[in-house]
This record gives sequence, C-alpha cells and structure tokens, in this order.
Amino acid sequence: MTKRVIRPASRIPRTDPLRRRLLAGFGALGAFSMLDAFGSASAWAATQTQSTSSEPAPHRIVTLNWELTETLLALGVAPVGTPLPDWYRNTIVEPPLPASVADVGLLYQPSFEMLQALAPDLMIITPGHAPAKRWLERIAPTLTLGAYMSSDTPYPALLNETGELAAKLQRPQRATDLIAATDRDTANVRAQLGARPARLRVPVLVADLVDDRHLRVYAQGSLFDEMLRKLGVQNAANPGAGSKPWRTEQGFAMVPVQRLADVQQASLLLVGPLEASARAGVRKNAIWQALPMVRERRIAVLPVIAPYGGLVSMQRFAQAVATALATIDNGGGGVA
Amino acid sequence: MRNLAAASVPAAPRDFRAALVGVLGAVALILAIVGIHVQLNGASFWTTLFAPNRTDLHQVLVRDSLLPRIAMTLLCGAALALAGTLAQQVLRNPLAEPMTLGIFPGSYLALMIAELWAPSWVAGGRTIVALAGGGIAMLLVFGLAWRQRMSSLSVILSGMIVNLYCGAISLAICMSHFDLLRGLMIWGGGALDQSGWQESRQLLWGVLACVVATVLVRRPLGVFEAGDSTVQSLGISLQRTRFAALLISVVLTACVVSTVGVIGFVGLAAPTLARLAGARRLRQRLIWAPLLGAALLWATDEIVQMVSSTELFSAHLVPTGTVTSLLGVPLLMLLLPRLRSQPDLHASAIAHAPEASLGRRLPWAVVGLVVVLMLTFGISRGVHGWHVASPAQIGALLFWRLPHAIAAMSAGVLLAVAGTLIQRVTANPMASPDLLGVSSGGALGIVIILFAGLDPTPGILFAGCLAGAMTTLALLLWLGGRASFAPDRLLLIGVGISALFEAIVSATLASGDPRAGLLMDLVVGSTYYIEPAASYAAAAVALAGLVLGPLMARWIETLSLGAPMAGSLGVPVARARLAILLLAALLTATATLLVGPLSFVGLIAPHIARYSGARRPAVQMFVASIVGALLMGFADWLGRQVMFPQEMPAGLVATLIGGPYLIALTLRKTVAST
Repeated sequence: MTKRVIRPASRIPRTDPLRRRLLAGFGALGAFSMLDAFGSASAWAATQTQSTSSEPAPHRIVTLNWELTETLLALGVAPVGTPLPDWYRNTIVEPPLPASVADVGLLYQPSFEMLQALAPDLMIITPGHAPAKRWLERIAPTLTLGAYMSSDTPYPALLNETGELAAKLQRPQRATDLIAATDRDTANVRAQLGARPARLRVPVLVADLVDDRHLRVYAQGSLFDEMLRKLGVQNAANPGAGSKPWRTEQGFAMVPVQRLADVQQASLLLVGPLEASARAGVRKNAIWQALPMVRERRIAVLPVIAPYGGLVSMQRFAQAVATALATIDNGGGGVA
Repeated sequence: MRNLAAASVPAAPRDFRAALVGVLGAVALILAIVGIHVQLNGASFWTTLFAPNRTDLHQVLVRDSLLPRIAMTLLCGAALALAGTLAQQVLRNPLAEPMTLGIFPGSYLALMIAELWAPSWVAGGRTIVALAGGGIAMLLVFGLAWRQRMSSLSVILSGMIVNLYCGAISLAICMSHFDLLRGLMIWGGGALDQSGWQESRQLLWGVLACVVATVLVRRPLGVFEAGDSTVQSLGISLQRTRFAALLISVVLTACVVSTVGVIGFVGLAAPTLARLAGARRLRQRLIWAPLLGAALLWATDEIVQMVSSTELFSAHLVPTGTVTSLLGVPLLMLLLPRLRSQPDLHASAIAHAPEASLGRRLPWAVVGLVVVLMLTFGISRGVHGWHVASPAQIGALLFWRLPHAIAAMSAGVLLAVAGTLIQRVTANPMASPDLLGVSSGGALGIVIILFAGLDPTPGILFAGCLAGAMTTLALLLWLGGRASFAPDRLLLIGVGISALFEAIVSATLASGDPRAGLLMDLVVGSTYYIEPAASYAAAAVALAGLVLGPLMARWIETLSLGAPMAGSLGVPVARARLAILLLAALLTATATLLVGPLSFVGLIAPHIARYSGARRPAVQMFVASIVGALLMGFADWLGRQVMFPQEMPAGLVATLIGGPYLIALTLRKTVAST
C-alpha cells in the first residue's frame, strides 16, 4: 500500500440511510411488525439515559467521523475507537491520533462486535448515522454533531459544535482556548498579508486537482471560503471578485479545467496531495499550459488539509495560504 | 393482425437511414458552430486552426479542446457502433454489445488496482493499463467460451459472468477507498473533455486498423444470419470466424474505453437503430451503424456541452457517456415495435444434468442451512481473533444478527424464485431478475424522489420504489404485449431501463454530487440498515413466492414447448406470461428494497439448481430457493468476518463466492458433455 492521502469530505454531509428509510417504509406495511418486539426483547443496554452535568465526564469515547475526531483531540481527549484510523492519519493529519486507537470498521457501518468489545461510554455520531442511532444506543449513549459540514455558514456552526462537544466533555475552557487561538492565528495571518498588499492584488481559487482535466473548486458555503474572507483574501469563485458567482453544491463546484478561462486573473491554490498521474497529466495538457496562471507561475500546492476539518485544520489552512501567497509573490509558484 | 404484418413487409420497407443520420448530424453541426463562434470571440477560425496565437486562451480552447473533442466523439461513436454491429452479428443476439462482454469492467478494475497500489503505472496515462485490463477480461471470456466452441450463448454467458465478477470486485474496493477514486469515476462516466490532439490521433490509428480487419472478414460474417448449423454446413469455420469478429469488436471497445471511459449504449443502440432505419443487410449495417453512432454521439455531446454550461448544472460535471444512455433509451423504446424477433436466443448449448442425483443432495442442503445458522449466531471474529460466542454475547447482539440473517436469506429466496421464473419464461439462461429492469426501475423511482428534493420519509420512498417498479412493469407490458410478451423484446426493454439506471448512478458518482455516497449504499446491497420489521415482512413475501411460484409450474412447462404449441394445449399464452412476470416483478421489487439492485443470486441460484439435477420448474424453484438462502446467509456471515471490522455487503459477497462456482460448473459440464 502506497502512502497516499485522501480527503473524505464528500461523503460526510447527508450521507444518509436511504435504504433504512425504505425499509422502515416497507416495514410500515405492517405485515409482521408485531415481531419487532422479538428483536428488542434481547435488549441489553436499552436503559441508557442522557448524561446530566452531575455525572462523570465520559472517558471511553468512540467517534464515527474523522473531522469530529480532530475536534475531540483538539479538546485534549483521545477516542478509544474510530473507523479506519489510517484515513484520519492521511486526511486530517493534525492533531496526531495515538497508535492505540482501535479500528471499528466502516464509517457508516461500524462493526457491532467491535463496538460492544470496546464498551464505550459515549459515541459521537453524525446526522448520517441517524438511521443506526437506535441500535448504537444499545451499546452506549450517542451525541450527534457534524451538522456544520452541510450548513450554509459552516464556520459559526463549527464554533458552536466545538463548544457543545467541550461542554459534554465537561471542559468548556478548552473550547474557549481553541477558538481564541484560532482567532489569534487568523488575525496574525491577516495582518501579515495586509502588510504586503502585492500578495492580495489578485483573487485566489482554492481547488483539488481531481485528475489531469478536472478541478473541485471550494466556493461559497465551504469552510475554506469563509476562512479566505477572514484572511482578507478574495475568492475568485465568489461574487464580488469581479466575475460571475460559481454555482456550488455544499461549497463545491466540480469543473473542467477549461472553466479556469473565466478567472484568468486569479492565482490557483491546489490543496494537497497532488496525484502523480494528475501532475504528469497537466504537464501534457495544452489548455493547462496556456492558462495565464500557469504561464505566470501563479500556482501553489497546499499541504493536506481537510476541507471540513475542525479548527486545527483551519489554523493550518490560514498558515498554508500565507506561505503559498508568499511563494507565488516570490515567483516560485508551480506544480512541478 | 398477422396477415396485415406479413403484407406490409414487402409493400414498403421504410428507409430513413440518411434522414436519421442527417438530422442528428445537422443538429450537432449547428450547435458546434455556435459554440465555436462564441468561444472564438471574433478571431478567425482558420487562423486558430493553423496558426493559433498560443497566448490567446480562446483560440487555444477552440483548437485544443473543442475541435479535438468533436473528432473524439465521431471516432468513439463510429468505433462503438462498429463493435456492436460485429458482436450482434456473430452472436445473433440484439442484447450483445462489447460493453456487456466484460471489457469495461475489466479495464475499470485494472485501473482501480493500479491507481491504488501501483500509481506509477498510471502516471503515464490510463490507456495501457485499461487496455491490459480489458484484454485480460476478454481472454477470460473467450477462454470460458472456447470449450463450448464459442457458441453464441456461451460467449454471452461468460461475458455476463466476467462482467458481474469484475464489477463486484470493483465495488468491494470502492467501498473502502471511495474518495481516492473520484478521478476514476469521472473517467468511468465517460467524460469527453479533450486537451490536445494526441489522444484522438492515437485512437484514429486503432480504429483504422480495426476497419481494415473488418473489411477482411466481412464475407463469412454475412452468413451468420442463417444460424450455427447452416454456417457450419456451408464449410465456414464457425469458431474461428466468430473469434476473429469478436476480437475486432473487443479491440475497438478497449481502444475507446481506455481513451475516454465508458460511453454507454451507443454500441447497443446504433446497430439496432441502423437495422430499424432500413439497413437490412450486413454490408449496409457495417456502413450505416458507424455513421449513425458517430452522429448520435456527436449530437449528444453538443447538447451536453450546451446544457452543462447553463447555470443549473454548473456545479456538476455532466459526463457525456452517461447521457447517451438517457437519449438512447427512449429512442430505442420508440423503435422497438418495429424490431423483428431474433431467433437463437433459445440456444441448445445448456448442458443437461441427470435428474437422479437430486435426492441424494437434499440432506446436504439441510445440513448447510444448520451450519449457516450456527455460523451466523455462534462464531465470529472479535478483538482477539476468532471465537465461539457465549450465550450472553449472542443475546447482546441478537437484536442485530437475527433480522440480518432473516433479511439476507429472504432476499436469497426471493431472487432465486424470481430468477427461475424469468429464466424459464424467457427461455434465456442469461436472464436474471435485474435484466428485466424491474429492480433498476424501482431504484430509479427512489433516485427521482431524492433528486426532486422531496423529504425522503419512509412512506414516500417506498411509494417511489413501488411506482418505479410498476412503471417499468407497465412499460414491459405495454411494449411486450404487442408481441405476446416475446422474451427477446422484454429483455431489450429491461436492458434499456437497467442502462438508464446505471447511467444515472455513474453520472452522480462522477459529478461530485453529495448524494453519491447515498447512491453507493443503494447499489452495493448492504443489509446493515435493515429494520427488523422489514426483514420479517420480506420473509413473508418470500414464503408467498414459494407458494405461488410452483402454482405456475405447469404453465411454464407448457410454454417451454413454444407459444403456438402451448396455445394449442389450452394455455392462455399472453395471460400466463403476464401472471408469471407480475409475480417475478413483485418478488424482485421486494428483494431490491432489501439488498439493492445487485441480484447475482437471481442468476446463479437457478443455474446451480439445474446443474444439481432439478429439471422440472417447480423442483428447480424449490432447490434454487434453498441455494439462494444458503448463499445469501453464508455471504452475510462471511461479509462480516472477511475484512473484520469492515463489513462487506451480503449481495457483494454472494457474487464473489457464487461466480467461481458457476464458472466451475460450466466448465465441468462442458467437459462431461464433449
């Protein structure tokens, strides 16, 4: 297995449970719904109740989402289990995940055998897990977070959820500190860029290079877009940047490279990692080579950053943008 | 009615070949000119073509993107249509097209493996890896069919198996590496975006070589219309000619697939359209089908480009390959009533097994059932490796395992009964429930509800699924009714609807739409989210199927003598077929709700039953349901263990373990019969 990195963003929001709903509908036919009682007769831990503030803080936590694992770690708590831990290490990167964290299976189909063996006292789930919630709560109480990823204004929503999780962990001060540190970092980068107006002269486009002729552009409704605004950097995919607004679906627009002709003035920031095949492909791509941003070396590659990550990812994004804009300003941009 | 039809044939065989190609071509040309004119922004076309200003992005876009894209669509359309014409001719089956012969899934699997585990192989471009994968798949198909002397049926059946098998492995990989493969999914959707002339030039050489080869073999191909025995008596080496024609067809497809990905339906639709438009002889079809294919694909692509530049779609990619299906399916449906029945779907190449052995095998089935149940509840992998569960552990997880086991086994029974019914009534051993399009129709109904933005409550989704399945069925009945439910007509409709569904799925996967993950869940057939109530209801439907199915056994047996004979024996042919199809559709729709449209069990269980000696329909149905239940139950358990703690869906695992068994059976019986 080669060391390659992936971003899981597209499957997090609203990946829900069509079949289960279908089946619920099917069951609603009622033919044998009496028998349902048989299934629940074996209730093992059905009497779990929501913890109140008087209870001890949970300490054996399973997270069923990598972005929420990031926030948990940033608040100073390590989970006992998470789905496919290597994916966290490849896509979120920071803060580092301890090696002791157990693998609980697939993101939306965690293994009940494994969950039962880990005996957690809290499971952090997303709205996408709602169909399985009833079953998961037989193992441990659940806390649903992660709705910020499908919010139209994800950043304030992320701040709220960070606070909510910290309250559940009974360490609200950690959230306050984390948010303050992020604000401080953002303000620093903004000041740093403001001192060099040349670096803010042109708008930027933040995108993934999907293959040698397609891009996934982060536009209105994405965390990256809100971060750019906080940093005082214009997003070329947005209204007010001198071009027509790009239509997005949950913050993304999937476009062919030709679309870049609409924003010839912009600089391009590619979120890492760059696939070897895509990198080789664009070198042979005649249109790519004719783009002003390529000819004028106004391209930079960012490190691996989760587009729907938590505040640590956003701090890293702010730093990465500052570094990238400096590189471009110094004439050192490019994908090679 | 019969007389009228007979009289109209010599009177005026309508011929609108030129008109069809002309209209499609004109639409495409006008759209292309408008597009280029807008993009050029006042610059001269000829200057752009021959002496472009490299710093003017508009000129570069016209010269290196728009124009090579047109060349690419024309080449791909013509190549796929030629490949389809050849395959349909030598296999004498209107359903045969190179895509169903395993080429695309083979290429796709090879690329997937390369991208994940050997990225340096694809760094230089996808062509070579895709060609290699398609080639291996093709060799596999031919290798399986060779022992049956490349009979038309064996080629199609082998193709289906390789197709399903590669597809299942790809899905299994895809499940755990979904987001790594986004680029591959765009390719899979058939995106025709070009960035230079190199690829179209390469493809041109490949296609030209294949055209030359076609010219060389065109003479013996003409007699294939007469049937296998006639061809052989004419002294033409059937096996070698068929092999040569299929080889050309496969190389053409592999060239196209490796360059632009899958372009659905052109290879199937263009030859059929050419035939319907009046190209009756092979020589005419060899010319007109490629022309029609090229025009069809070009027109589609221009429309796609126009639509995808509008505001509504600008956040998504719209891959042309999938849109061809959207355009091709209604067209085919429209022309279907004019299609003449093709003989030889009912081929005689099925090996017959002795009936006597059945009785001795029954106890084994019971033992198997007990073993599967014990495995399901008692033995599993945990944190510390394999273990036998204690009663407390069994009790703790019973809420979870019992509905699963019941749902998986019910789905096995449902699909097995539906598969037996459909295979028997269509007399086509490659027919599986999804080939009739009912499961795809149901899934399509769900997809429409999702994309219409309705709130997906259980009731609405179920209504959508039911409406989709019923609409499909109504379409089958309406179009099939005119031909007294002739099997080949029904299968064509079914394949069309399945293609439509696949097109929408791959378009969604390629577009980066957030609903892609949800669709994946639907496609792979996981039992994870099954409600207990649903599984018990499904078990009830399965039992009902086991009662109602055998009641139709007499009809099925009589119908297998042929419709005229059955009619003279007093069977109401149309009504009997209607009843059997209705039951099969109901069972399939139920199974779709449980395990998604992946219904390999419905193909394989009746085969295993027949090979075990169950010849009479009622017996075959019972044996097949036992096999189906065993297979799905075992697959459900195995899926939870094999990659622990990752769970593999039961439908997928059933495909993976059932495929080799079917191949082994096919090979063994062939050896025995030769």
